[in-house]
Amino acid sequence: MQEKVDYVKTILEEAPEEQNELYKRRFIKIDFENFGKDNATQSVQDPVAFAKELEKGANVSFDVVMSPTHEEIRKSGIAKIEELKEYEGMYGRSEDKAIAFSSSTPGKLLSIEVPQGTNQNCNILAFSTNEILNARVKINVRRDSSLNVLIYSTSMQDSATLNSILNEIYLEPYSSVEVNLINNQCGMCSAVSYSKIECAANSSLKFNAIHSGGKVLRAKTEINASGNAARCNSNELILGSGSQKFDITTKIINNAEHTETFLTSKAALMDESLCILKGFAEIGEHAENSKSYVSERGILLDKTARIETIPGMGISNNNVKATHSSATMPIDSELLFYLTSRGLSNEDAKTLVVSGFFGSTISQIENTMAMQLGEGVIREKMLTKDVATTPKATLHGIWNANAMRSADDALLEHYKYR
Amino acid sequence: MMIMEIQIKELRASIANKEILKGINLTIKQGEFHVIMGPNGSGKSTLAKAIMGYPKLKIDSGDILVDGKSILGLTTDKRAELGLFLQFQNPVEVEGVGFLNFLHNVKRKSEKKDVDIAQFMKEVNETASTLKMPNGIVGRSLNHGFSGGEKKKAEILQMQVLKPKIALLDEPDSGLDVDAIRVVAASINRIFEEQKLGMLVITHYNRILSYMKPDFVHVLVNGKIVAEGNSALIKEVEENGYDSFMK
Ligand SMILES: Nc1ncnc2c1ncn2[C@@H]1O[C@H](COP(=O)(O)OP(=O)(O)OP(=O)(O)O)[C@@H](O)[C@H]1O
Ligand SMILES: [Mg+2]
Repeated sequence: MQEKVDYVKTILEEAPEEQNELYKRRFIKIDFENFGKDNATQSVQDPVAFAKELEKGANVSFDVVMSPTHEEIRKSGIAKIEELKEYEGMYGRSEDKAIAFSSSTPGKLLSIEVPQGTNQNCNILAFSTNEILNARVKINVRRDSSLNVLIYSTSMQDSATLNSILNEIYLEPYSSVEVNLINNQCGMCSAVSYSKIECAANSSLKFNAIHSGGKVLRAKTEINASGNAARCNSNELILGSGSQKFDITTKIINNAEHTETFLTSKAALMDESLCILKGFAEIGEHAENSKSYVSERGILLDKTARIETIPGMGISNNNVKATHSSATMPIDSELLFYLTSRGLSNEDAKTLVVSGFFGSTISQIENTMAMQLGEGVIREKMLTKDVATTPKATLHGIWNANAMRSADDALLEHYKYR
Repeated sequence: MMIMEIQIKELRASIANKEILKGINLTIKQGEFHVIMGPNGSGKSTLAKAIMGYPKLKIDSGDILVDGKSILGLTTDKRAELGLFLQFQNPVEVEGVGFLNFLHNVKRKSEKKDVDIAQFMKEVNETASTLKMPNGIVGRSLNHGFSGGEKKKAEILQMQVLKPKIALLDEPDSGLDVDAIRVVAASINRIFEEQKLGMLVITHYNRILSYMKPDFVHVLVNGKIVAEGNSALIKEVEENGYDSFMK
């Protein structure tokens, strides 16, 4: 354990691949001082009990459970867990120190193979105890098949550790995938969440990420539309409270003709939380007739919260459509006045604004379990302001985007003038 | 039934160190119909917002009482709970929040109990139809992408459903076409009759007033009420403008 900690200490400090000066300056370091220490007094929770409790409370069920000391595949016939000493996969070792760490340290590899022409689901729970979680997930989706995957990454309460997941996803031609990644680690845990996705010809990807947990969270996503007419849609939500720090880098790449890549990032930040949003669109020289769209938006719910959006673009083909927009602002006081004038408390009004802001992203999630879990995470956090809360399934209220939608449906049934 | 009464006493208030309300005295009782007229920038909206507890506004002196008790210490939502309602001159757009669900929830909160959906929707449908609101509009996000006139109608719809005891209507007529003014005025009149609420209507235009019968008319100029009377005052303003009230 201590060895790992020392190694991480030296290794995660910087990401050498971030050549862009602006990006480099806006880099949140992970403080490793506490890894493995504060927990001495903590009793180690039983991983199985932890998983069961979460499933019961949030009304979800996981096909695969991964933790540092325990893993199990409950159902899914498409998943396999291997012990790995070393692993490089799609990631080059030199690319990033976190990746170098993760790929050179023994850990678990979860591999998912979706056979040709089938439709599959897989819900994965990945959590760190007071030991480091070093998980790698490799997904291969064969031709003409589809996969819907949920990766819920969390930590036990008060575990000052590192939660690291590397995802590597490959979409074969004509396949379709929805990935839902939810990061909800506790406020003492540092989180590293890297995803690399390659989309072959005519494949379609939806990548939904909800980053809510961790003392420091570094997420890096690279989505490469490498085959003709691949369509990639990436949606990110960031919800910060307390002194959380988020370092989010997302790169979308058009690398073939008629590809479409979309990136929508939305951050809502409370208290003194900080988010650095780096959205980068790259359009390769062969990306004739492609489309690229990046939008970064932020709402600051408190005066002390901070957000920096750093958009970037590299275009090597002239025959493309590319747009980029970013906008950040404090929550509109006129808006709050309006909502409170109808009887909502200030906090409820803020919660409502955030659920509206995130709503369009949440509601397009196809995996209902992922949608409910994501909503639960957001709602509980808005209500409690805690960094990471355990989502509950039952709450119902104005801030529940799902309750909101079902209520809307119920109301609309009676609505004559559609 | 207890009749609610708002008393505004010698109210002075400022925004960003600029005095806007310069000693206002006004009493509105449930069941009374008041109109305030006044030139642009005279402080009409500010007065309505002051009653509702607008956070940017600093109350320098004076008081606002509801049934004898000062409400200056109450937050905006608590004032709404008392039964006050402000129809905004420029209602704010709220992306992603369904109009119907919002209204249903707010209603539930104000009644402190569950609100039957069928009954609620019946009222919404009927009101939307008398207001001649376009089909589909209340199925959308709250005020999001509504036209100016649609926003005003949506505010009146909210008033109908929430049933305040005293409503402050800040230019219910601005942005409305001629026909819409008639329709909105008729709805306001009907709500006034049916719900026996107190009403303060702020307006610039005589057109809407030709459909209304206010009990009291006040003229606000430069942060002060400079004239008060019955509907005859409207005619005076119409004929002479505000100049005659200014010194
Ligand atoms: N948030 C604010 N910040 C600074 N000044 C303000 C603010 N709100 C109002 N004011 C100023 O206060 C004065 C009164 O404004 P108010 O909106 O009350 O006028 P009004 O009588 O409603 O005018 P109108 O008929 O144009 O609606 C104006 O000079 C306006 O510029
Ligand atoms: Mg005004």
